[in-house]
Amino acid sequence: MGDVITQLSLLLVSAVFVNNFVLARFLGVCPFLGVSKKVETATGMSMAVMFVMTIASVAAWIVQKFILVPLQIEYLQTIAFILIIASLVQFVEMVVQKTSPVLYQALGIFLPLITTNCAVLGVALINIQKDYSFLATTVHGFGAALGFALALLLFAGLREREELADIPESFKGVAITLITGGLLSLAFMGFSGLVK
Amino acid sequence: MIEAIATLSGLGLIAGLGLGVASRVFAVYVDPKVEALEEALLGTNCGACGFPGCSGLANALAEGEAAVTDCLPGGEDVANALASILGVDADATAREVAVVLCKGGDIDAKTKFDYRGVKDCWAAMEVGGGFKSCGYGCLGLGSCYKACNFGAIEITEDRLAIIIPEKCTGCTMCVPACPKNIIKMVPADQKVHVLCSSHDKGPATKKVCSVGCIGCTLCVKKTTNMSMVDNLAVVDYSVIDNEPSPAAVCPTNTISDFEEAHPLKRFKKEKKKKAVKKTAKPAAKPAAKSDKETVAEGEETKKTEKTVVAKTEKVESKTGESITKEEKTETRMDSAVVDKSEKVEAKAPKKEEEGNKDVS
Repeated sequence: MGDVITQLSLLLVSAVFVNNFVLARFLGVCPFLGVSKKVETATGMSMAVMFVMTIASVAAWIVQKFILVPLQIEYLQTIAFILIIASLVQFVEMVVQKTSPVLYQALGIFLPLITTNCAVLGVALINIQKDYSFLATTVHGFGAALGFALALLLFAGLREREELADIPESFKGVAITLITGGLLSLAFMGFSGLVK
Repeated sequence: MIEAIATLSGLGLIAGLGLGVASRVFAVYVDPKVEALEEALLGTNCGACGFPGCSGLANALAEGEAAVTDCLPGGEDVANALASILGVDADATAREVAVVLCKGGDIDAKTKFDYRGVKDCWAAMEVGGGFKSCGYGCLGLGSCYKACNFGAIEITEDRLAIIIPEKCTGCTMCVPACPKNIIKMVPADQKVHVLCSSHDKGPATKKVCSVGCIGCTLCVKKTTNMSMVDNLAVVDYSVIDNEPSPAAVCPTNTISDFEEAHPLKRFKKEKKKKAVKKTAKPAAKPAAKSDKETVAEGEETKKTEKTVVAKTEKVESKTGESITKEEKTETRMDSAVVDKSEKVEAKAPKKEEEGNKDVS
């Protein structure tokens, strides 16, 4: 039992820091650059991603184990996962809108944005690739989302400061954003080797 | 192969059915008004209204927490569309434009000294309270010009800021930009403004500016919508009826009518007017009569009045025949009025039809 908990916590740490989805795997770069102008919106986006990633990895795992593997059509993974994740997010959006208007106000705008985000699809596919158990899949999905949130919030904080910084004319805008993202990725490389 | 197709179709079918059922079960009642409002908005989610995106403004509008004019980039068209959906008046009075309440450029108003410092009104204010002899006068160094994001402010050749009402979006950015505090927001449909902010007594104003309000109270006596506040004539914008126009009775020409255009064109126009001052007067009288008939016709007459002034100027250069020719131009003007007003009337029903189509 203790062994399982150690493994799961290691998996979580590795998903957040070592194999950070944005900064080490380069997945989900679009929202990373797009929704990182303000810490406030970045927080909303992070929450939505956490929510969707965890649910999506669980749903994809179930589909894989109980439908695709028994029928020996694993090669349909990608397309089946897209279908499942997209409709799941739509469904969740409807439920949230009905049951919790407050939560919908906070996440509503971001949910459709990440329906088929590559980070969401990526985490589902990696779970299958690494042959994780159901529990490990859940933890990994959540950890990956946590890593995404961490990267996004750090980046948003940096970009807010850049607004006030005296940036050379030729670096303004996208250039300095990409450089900052690169440096942040470089910093996260320091975590490699933390978990094998 | 068949398995694959069947599985995918099955998954799709289940997902589709599930979503279909869910959309019924978890249906949230959305006010159709909100949807219509959102459609009428630009959909750019620019945030200029202060609400989170166009849907945010649509919600606020439906709940009566926002004004139809809140969509600044949409302007009048969007405001009208929103108003028709909400069933309220387009409410042109709600739209406000900024006006610089000063008419005294360097030509009309005296300066205390020659200012050659930084080209900024606030900087100029540091030097003896500005170079204008009048303490309330526009310095015309363009602090408001820089504050305007819409290119609605122009600086004339004789250093006077002028706001073009057609371009003004009513964003109020220029109001705090003026160190003299002479930019005011006025209802967009009001065309008559007192272009002076001086509370000095008449003789003092007259000494420093030829177009300042001297507090003669003529406009208050002869019109219905004027009042005096501390030696300065003030338009009461709540009174809609402004016949006769206060602009016509003002001896110093301080009160200006924006109906034709902003007095920006005064350089060309007023020079002409000064040149033909005596000859222009009889031409103005018949124009004033036809004014009362229809608005459209009134506008036309004013346009033709311009041409008359231009013509009489030419006429004056050939002195001697001036009086007879002027009479001819008057008759010409009348015929022009009739022609053009007919055209206007012919166009008007078409416009109404178009408007009806939009609503339906």
